[in-house]
Amino acid sequence: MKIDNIETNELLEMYKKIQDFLDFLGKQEKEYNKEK
Amino acid sequence: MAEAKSIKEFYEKIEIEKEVLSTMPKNNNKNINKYLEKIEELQKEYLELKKNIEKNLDKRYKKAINIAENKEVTNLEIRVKTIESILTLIDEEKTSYEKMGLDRIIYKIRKFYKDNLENVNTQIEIAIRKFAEVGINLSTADFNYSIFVEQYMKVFFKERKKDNSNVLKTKFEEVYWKCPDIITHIELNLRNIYLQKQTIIDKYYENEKQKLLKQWNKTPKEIMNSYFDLKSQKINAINKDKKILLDKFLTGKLNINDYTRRKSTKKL
Repeated sequence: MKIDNIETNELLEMYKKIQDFLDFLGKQEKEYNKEK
Repeated sequence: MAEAKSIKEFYEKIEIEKEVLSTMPKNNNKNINKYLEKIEELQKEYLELKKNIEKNLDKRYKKAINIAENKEVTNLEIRVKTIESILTLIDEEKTSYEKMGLDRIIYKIRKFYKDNLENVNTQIEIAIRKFAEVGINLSTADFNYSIFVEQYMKVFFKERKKDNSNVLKTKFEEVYWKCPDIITHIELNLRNIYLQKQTIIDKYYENEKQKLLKQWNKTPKEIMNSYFDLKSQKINAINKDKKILLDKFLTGKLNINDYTRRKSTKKL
């Protein structure tokens, strides 16, 4: 999948999804670093 | 994990990553470390992708805002405005009274006199200029409908070049106190001048019309048709112009969500 071929509105949705996922990963990282 | 081939696959990939993470054991430090390693690996991968998308969006934005407005739209606007400026003159239904704009002037005098005397004076000034335009130079002598109009207009002609003349304001109050119908008198006086000079005014507008038709080498109907044709061309050009459309989206006049593929399919 090439970024250039994705429509702008879809790319923006994708960006939002990635950001949500990164936020999720950040929370997990914080939580399990505490538990160590 | 293999690269996604479509957006759908990409979203599914994220869900699978979450699923994998949730099934990883986290019961001791060794497993937690492995879990954190996996998180770090994913963060690297998705941060990289996020940066690439940002770069790509930035490129698209720069390309979009550099679109120049189509010259065809400006061109059509000028042509439409040119015809609009002569439409009143060639209109066969309109009287010279309307062509002069006296109907609007009198309407404004009547409408605004209670709130704004300045506006009344501006409208009287416009009326005087409109008469001058057709070759009739008005003076105090023409305003003789009543003694009150005479008194007011005498001061008006003396003070007309001054902004916010207090002398004129005081005079209006003085006359208004004696004759609350002064506005109606002014209005009737202007109508009376028009009726007295109607032949000259009609002739002026007829000459102007003939001059225009000769210049354009068209009948009034043909000019009207060209006008409607140009207007429709202008609307089409505006609806297709990338710069205008982009500005409408940026200023919120249009909403990108109304134009998504899903929404347009739903409407159909």
